[in-house]
Amino acid sequence: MSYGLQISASGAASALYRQDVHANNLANMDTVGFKPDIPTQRPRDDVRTEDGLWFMPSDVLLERLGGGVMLKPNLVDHGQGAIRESGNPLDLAIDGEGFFVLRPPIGSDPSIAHLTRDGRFTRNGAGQLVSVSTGAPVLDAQNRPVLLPPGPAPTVESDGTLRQGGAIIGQLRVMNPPDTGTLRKAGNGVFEVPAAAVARAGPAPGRVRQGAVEESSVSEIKSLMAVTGAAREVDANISMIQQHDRLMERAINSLGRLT
Amino acid sequence: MAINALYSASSGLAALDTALDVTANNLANVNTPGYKASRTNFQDLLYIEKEQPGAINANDDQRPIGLYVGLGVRVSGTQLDFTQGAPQFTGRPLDITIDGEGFFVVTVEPSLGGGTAYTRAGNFALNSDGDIVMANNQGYRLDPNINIPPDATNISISSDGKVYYTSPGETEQTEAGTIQLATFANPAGLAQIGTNLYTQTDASGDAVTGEPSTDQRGSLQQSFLESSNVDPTRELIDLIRTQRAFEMNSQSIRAADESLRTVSQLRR
Repeated sequence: MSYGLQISASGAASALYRQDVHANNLANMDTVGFKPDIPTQRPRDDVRTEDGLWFMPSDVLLERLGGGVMLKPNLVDHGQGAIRESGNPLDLAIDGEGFFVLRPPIGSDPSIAHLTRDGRFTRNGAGQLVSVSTGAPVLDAQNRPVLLPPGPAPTVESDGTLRQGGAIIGQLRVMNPPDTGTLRKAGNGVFEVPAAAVARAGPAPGRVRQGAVEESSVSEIKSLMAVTGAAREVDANISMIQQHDRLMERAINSLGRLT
Repeated sequence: MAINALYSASSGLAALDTALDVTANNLANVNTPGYKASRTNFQDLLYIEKEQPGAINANDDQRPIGLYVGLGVRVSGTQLDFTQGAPQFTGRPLDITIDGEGFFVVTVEPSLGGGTAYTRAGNFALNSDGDIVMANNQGYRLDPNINIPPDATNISISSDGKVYYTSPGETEQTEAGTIQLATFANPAGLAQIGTNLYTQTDASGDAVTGEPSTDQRGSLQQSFLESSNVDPTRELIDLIRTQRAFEMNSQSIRAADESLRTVSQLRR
């Protein structure tokens, strides 16, 4: 079989995958606190190297071509989104590095902590400060839900301290995981991270801004270019597959013909 | 496959469509007294783990973990913005603005929220019985009911909610009753039932009713009407953003469709 056929197929498959990722980024261009995924890829080794088949006979010429392309784990672009004034006193945005800590749902794995950059909060019927998206309570430094006494909306200072009428009523935890690469997206604006890493983490350098939300940091133009560009890449790779196909067809039907 | 891209983009279109409806409703209510703007909250959907396209090696160590695709976006809910609207002077004696967090309490049909509803719209009127009622086609009474005799003149409402009137031939004012205000732990959790009314839910917490000017309920201002808190500039900008985002998602659909078509034409 034509080796190039496989190489072109890997190119088309990876382009289709990247199109999915960028389409999801584009769909979330208005999601508060959303961080875009960056699909990454690397050249794939030839079969003999990849599968450790060193004892097999080698074809130096083909192996120089490599094995096409292979996807790598997505990266998440944790760059700052634009901060937009919303006027709602319980909308909080983090300017700089850091995450709010949410209480994971009851019954979920206790070794996983939930972090978010989506600071749209509200007060629930029990007086807890909760996320409007999931209803999960926001936690303080002692991992307890933050309670808001009835009365006017509190003022929130840049380090997360909550004051109501001048008196301190609590402090939101704003933390920075040691390595943002370990965060895993769980949907609903939530990042999952091992709870042990959260326990060790110190306060974040980011500053809390009250009455504002952090917009999605998706670049619409880049994402749209990537989505349409991926369609062209699929096109190109499929054309190559057809070329290989024609070549083989010629090889089978013309080359072998005697007259 | 690009099928996920199609679904992500269509979820984007659906969510943006809702956002467009909410913005249009806000703009339609730019002159409704006591109206509180809503906003649409988006959240990203679940992520699915994908396998590495192509072969997995014998040791299973080439296949990367964390290769995932998001499945788009959805509207997690709409959220009411209870910031104060600007008080507008009208000169009518039964126009009342609440300067604070409280709500007027009105009696409605038992089928709606157990018979009690709450409103910020302070445009009241008298009905044929002399009761103070909401100046809409339903004419819901205040709770507790306040009655003004038909021949009364010079109705005045103090900032702490006491309603006074002058009977003919009298010089002293007579007290007709006190307007009560309710507050909630979480007003954003109230249910909107239309005609400027809200009803209590589990999310809002129970109504705490009391006299105006006590416990953050706010004081009353007679002859002023609280205007809608919709900011037309913000809404129009949201409208533009929503429309452009809609267009971009439709481009995603087109691109994903092209990819799928190319793949499907692989074997001619």
